[in-house]
Amino acid sequence: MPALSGCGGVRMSLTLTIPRLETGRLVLRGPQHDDFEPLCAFLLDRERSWGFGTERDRAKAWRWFACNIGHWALHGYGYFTIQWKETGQPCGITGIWNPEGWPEPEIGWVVFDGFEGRGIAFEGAERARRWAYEELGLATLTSNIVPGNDRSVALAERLGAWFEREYDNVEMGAERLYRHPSPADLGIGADNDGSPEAYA
Amino acid sequence: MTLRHADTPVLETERLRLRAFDARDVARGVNYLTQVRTVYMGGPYSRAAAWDHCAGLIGHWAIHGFGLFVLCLEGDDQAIGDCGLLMPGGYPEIELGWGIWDPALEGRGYAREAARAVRAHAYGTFGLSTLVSYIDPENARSIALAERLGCTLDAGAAIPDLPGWTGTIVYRHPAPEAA
Repeated sequence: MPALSGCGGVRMSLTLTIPRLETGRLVLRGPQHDDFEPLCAFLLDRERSWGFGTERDRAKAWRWFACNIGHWALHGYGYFTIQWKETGQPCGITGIWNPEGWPEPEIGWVVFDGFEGRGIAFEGAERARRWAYEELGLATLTSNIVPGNDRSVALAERLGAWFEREYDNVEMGAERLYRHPSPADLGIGADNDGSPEAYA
Repeated sequence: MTLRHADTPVLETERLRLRAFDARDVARGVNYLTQVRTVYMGGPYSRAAAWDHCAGLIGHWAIHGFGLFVLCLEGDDQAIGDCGLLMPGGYPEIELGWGIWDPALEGRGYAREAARAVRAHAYGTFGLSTLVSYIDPENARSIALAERLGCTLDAGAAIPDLPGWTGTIVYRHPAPEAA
């Protein structure tokens, strides 16, 4: 993060309130300044980020970080930082993404170096999906996966998603669109006897 | 999620109201950024890249607590241009930038009026001690405005470490006591 060189005065700001969600081992929360370095390391690491969108330098990574915050402001959703509860470290991101040119909202996930093999992406994405259905009221979700990203396909399938079609993404080129189970498929929005919950 | 606009400053000039770039401005901002007129500031952008840029402008406010204002005429909330303080990744120091979105409204001194207000705000409320403007050497209109604002070429200043910015010239604004 660039330092606020020469800026010694009052910092008037725009404040975003992004929900904080929990799972057994994870906290999902809005992006904070300290998240930039681990995120940047991921975005510049072609081997790890090719399926997500590798950025060419720190300046571009900063723009993605800022864009995600603005995405929250414009849509009311975006990528959460996933925090490993035990240590408080940022260990990945997951959330709902739908910038200009996207076919529809998608759920995405990324796990940072050193945190793989713990089921973090599954646990985080499942929580984010439940939030999107319960709190945002989304009726369906997709995940757009670059051909050859077998690990992401395996996770999408573990989340119950299935291949629907291939399409041309405005930023990523050819992508395979996976459709997630609907809220009803997951038993969300239905009470114990299976009928839709009435909202006062 | 809530977004508190009340926390961002609003600047008033004789003919303009300057407020932080926000969701109201995305459609017009995208339209501006996809025009060939933005060639001196990295454009023209695709619609997708323009939207990302606009989202990034909102994120810039959240990250730094300062950012780009839009210029509104009296009694109208629609943005006709922008002016503000910029420090995205790759910038060595804070820039005062400006642009008039509607070509029909160029040449009326709006950018100058806004730049003077933002500079006074930066030196006053923020307590900044210096400001630069990064300008493409072929952007005669912006060069003329920088000179009218009392800026001088600063050949020794670092330029943003960004692809395609080689050759960018740096205008240094007068210090607070001289502005």
